[in-house]
Amino acid sequence: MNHFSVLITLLRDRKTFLEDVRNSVKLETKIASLLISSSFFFAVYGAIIGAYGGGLQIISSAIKLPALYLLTLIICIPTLYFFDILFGSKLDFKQYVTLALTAVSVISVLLFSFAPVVLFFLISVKGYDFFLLLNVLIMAITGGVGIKLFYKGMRDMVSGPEAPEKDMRKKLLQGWVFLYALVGSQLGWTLRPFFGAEGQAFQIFRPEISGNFYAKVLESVATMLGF
Amino acid sequence: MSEETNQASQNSSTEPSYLRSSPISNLDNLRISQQEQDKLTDLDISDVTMGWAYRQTAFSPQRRLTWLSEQLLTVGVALIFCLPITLLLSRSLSGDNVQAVWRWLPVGGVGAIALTTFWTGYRWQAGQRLIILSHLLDEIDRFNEMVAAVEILEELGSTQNSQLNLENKEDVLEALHLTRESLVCGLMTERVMRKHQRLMARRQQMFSNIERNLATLQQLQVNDAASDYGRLLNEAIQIGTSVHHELSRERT
Repeated sequence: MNHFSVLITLLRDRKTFLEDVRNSVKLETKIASLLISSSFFFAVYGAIIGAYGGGLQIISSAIKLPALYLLTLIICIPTLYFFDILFGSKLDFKQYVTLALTAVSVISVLLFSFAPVVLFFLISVKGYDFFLLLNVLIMAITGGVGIKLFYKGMRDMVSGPEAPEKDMRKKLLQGWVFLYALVGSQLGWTLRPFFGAEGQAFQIFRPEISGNFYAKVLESVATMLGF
Repeated sequence: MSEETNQASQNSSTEPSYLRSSPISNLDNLRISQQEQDKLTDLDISDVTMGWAYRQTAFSPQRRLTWLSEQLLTVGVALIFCLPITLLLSRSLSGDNVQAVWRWLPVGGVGAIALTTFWTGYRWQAGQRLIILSHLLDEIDRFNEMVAAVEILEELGSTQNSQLNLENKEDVLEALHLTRESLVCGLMTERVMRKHQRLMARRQQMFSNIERNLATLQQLQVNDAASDYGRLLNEAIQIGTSVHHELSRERT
């Protein structure tokens, strides 16, 4: 099976792809292909951001970045599935996994598309805070687009006059998206460093687990603005 | 004169469609495409896989590279899951001890390789259960290659004023058509048998179709066995025989 062609089909003809998911057409193949192709694109982007620290950090980030997105998905998907079936969803677990992987795959491709931009700034600008904020911005944009598509896909799936508890499930989905962002940012904080630090030895993890992702972003903004 | 015209029009109306229109376009229709294979088997068919299961040819030297790249991707994905999970667990269990985390990391690597080996073993075993389908798909590959060969001969014939015999050409087209029908019947029968073990009503009819096609194939006279068309015709008979053999085996 050509894994990347499944992703291309998703990007080119999302409507047909979602229709296939709705009708449970070859979901196993879709799951495997999306998993492999998204891992590949995340790994490439991870390797590029790891190049800031250089050396082992490149390999470390190429493994950690795909893990960040995919583990977050594994952690969060049972919550969505069980709550949704409680409120009358007829979709099965494989359909949920495929839909969620669809969003993650879109994010991976979008990140991959930003790779030349990040590479350009990596070569031309030397500033940890700038590089960090640039990547946070890119990840926020790509994540926003991916989640929006997932949200739309899920809404289309549950729409129709016969859809039970539609409003409740819409709220549930919004809540889940928030949960996904929360878990993702905390997992990212636990798995860091993703960039490494210039002139410092490679660290497989940062021993101090205190603080959180949002505090660090605010700190970087403040440093950049000279506070 | 009018009788001859009548006869001709009658012949043309009783002729199968693949003999009436242009041969090259017919050959395109004869080929059993990937999508058709997917649809007929209800599985995702590729060079090395049938759904999750490995085809018998997956391990052949020609397809080793495809198989190896598949393995590499699987190990990569397994590493992406196993290493960070090991990192998180060892970090939590050792209380942020960097040495302990480094000591535990190889366990994650071994876990990823073990996971890949288990997954490959499972797919190989699934392939063993679909051995008949695997053989049928090999025959389809052979058939598609044959169609491509006929296409090339057609093109050569049209450009070089070849002395290829029209009667033989029609025989080959008929042979290909019958072979195609047998292969499609074979795939459908296999799917029915695979999906509905108890629902075997259609199997008998399909099987008799295959038997009839094979008998017709064997009746086709090969005037010149040494010619390209003659060889192709023989190959069509061989494929027909293989399909018949595989399904007979399944039936017993």
